[in-house]
Formats: sequence, C-alpha cells, structure tokens
Amino acid sequence: MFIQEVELFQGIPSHVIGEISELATQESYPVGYVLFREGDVADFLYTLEEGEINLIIQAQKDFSFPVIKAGSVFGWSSLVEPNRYTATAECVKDSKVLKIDAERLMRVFQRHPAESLIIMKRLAGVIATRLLKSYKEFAASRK
Amino acid sequence: MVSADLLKGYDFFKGFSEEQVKKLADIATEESYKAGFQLWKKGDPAKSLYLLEGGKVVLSMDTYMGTSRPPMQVTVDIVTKGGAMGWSAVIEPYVYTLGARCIDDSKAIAFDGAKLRELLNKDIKLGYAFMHATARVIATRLTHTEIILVGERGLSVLSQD
Repeated sequence: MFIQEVELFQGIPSHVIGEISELATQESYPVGYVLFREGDVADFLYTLEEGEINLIIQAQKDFSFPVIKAGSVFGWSSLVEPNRYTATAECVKDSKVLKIDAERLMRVFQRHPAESLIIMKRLAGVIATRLLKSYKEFAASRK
Repeated sequence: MVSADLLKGYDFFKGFSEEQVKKLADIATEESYKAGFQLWKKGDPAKSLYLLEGGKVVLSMDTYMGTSRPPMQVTVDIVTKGGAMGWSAVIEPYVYTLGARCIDDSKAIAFDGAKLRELLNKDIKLGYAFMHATARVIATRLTHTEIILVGERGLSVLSQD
C-alpha cells in the first residue's frame, strides 16, 4: 500500500507524502497477535493494509470495533494527548499494517501546517466516527 | 469579543500563542443561560462551539423503550467549568450529535461556527492547533462514553443473572 491511499493522507502533496513514507514500516502479524493494549503509551499510528484487526474496549470482546477496510487508521491516540491507547488491538486474521512513528510524524506536521490542518481535521473526524458508533451502542444497550 | 486573558486559563488553549488566542477572543462572545435551558438538540445545525465558564450542562441522547412510549433522555456526559462542548461546529457535517441542556444556571464563551471555520481556514497554524485541541475533546468524550457503556453492560449482565 502507498501512504497516499491511507484515509488521513489522501490528496496530500507528494513531497509531504515522501516525508511520511520515511517514517513508516510495513509489519506482518499472525492471527491473535496483540499490537497494543488499552492504556499502553501510544507511540505509533497504524494503517491496515491487509487482514482484520479488532479494537477491544476495556477487555470486553463483545464491545469492539473491527478494522477491516484497507487504508483505515487506528492507534490515533498516538497523535492526541494523553497519548495512551484507548483500546486493545488484536489481529482477527493474519494482518499486514503500516506502522508510523507518531513523534516524528508530529514533527512533519510542524513543517507543513497547511497539509497538517487537513490531516488533523480528518483525524478528528475518525475519532468522531468512533464516538458516534459508541453512542449507537449506548442507545442499543438501553433497549 | 472577549478578552484574551479570559481564554488563556482554559486547557483547550494550552500551547496556543498569544496572537492565536487574541484572534479567537475577537470572535468569541459570552452568554448566560438559566437552569433548564436547552442549548441544542441532536440533529440541530451546529451553530457554535462553547467553553463553559460556570454551571453545568448535560449531554444526552434520546432512547426509545418501545414505539408507544415517549423517548427517554439518557445522560452521556456532564460538562462542568472549563469544559468544551459543541465540537460538531468544526467537524463536518456540522450537526450536533447529542442534546445539551443546562442543569444549573450557566455561563459560556461561545465561538460562532461559521466565523470559527473561516478563521481556522485562513490562519492554518491556528487551524491546526484548534483541530488538535478539538480532537482531544472528542477523544475525552469517547473515553467517558465507553466507560459508561461498559458499566451499563455490566449492570445488564448482572440483572440477567
């Protein structure tokens, strides 16, 4: 997968994409592998390339958000204080991900404010989407 | 407009420069509401983002226990002094996702959504800082909601035993 296909980075100019690409490594994990646990210090932003990851809230496997679409980002807590993961990420299938060093990514943001504004708007949208899913779960749990 | 000094005390503006806070102060207004006042309902156009200066505001959603019964309002979060609310004013589609009602006499600093979006697009460094702060607010609300949700599930499991 190319960085410009990641939902946060679509349409971002190639010179900025180039800098972000340098921070990314491709990793493969087997089914059952835990990438990070809720409460861990959040150092990396992840993007799904292949496979499926489950984001499990407060160790309750029935309360989870699946990441199935290639290009979806997770581990956004690495870019938002207090920089602690808010879920546990576990591979449901053998999976390939792009792993991006968040601290260095923030430094790229400082150098390119116009592109960073677009990316940060999208990131806030990604978090808002999960919040809206939680609201739906909440409403359903009261029925 | 409000004074820049008034805004500086808020966590939301941690890390903002003097100049950035001044620009935001220029488009802000202070508003007061009586206990019981409904600031907005879910689905309303998100006209403003607010910082609460005093009082308490509950954020709630309507839940339906059956088609024949009226909806019940369930509190999802409570905003107190210093808290931010109304993030939908800067996130598309700019529609509030919960209802907001004052449960105490309350005072807030309001940022008009249209003016805010214009300012954030014009001053991109300010825009970045503001959206970063907004992401923090949404993430905090998510954590609160998930804690409540897990608690609710726990109770529902207990009640089935």
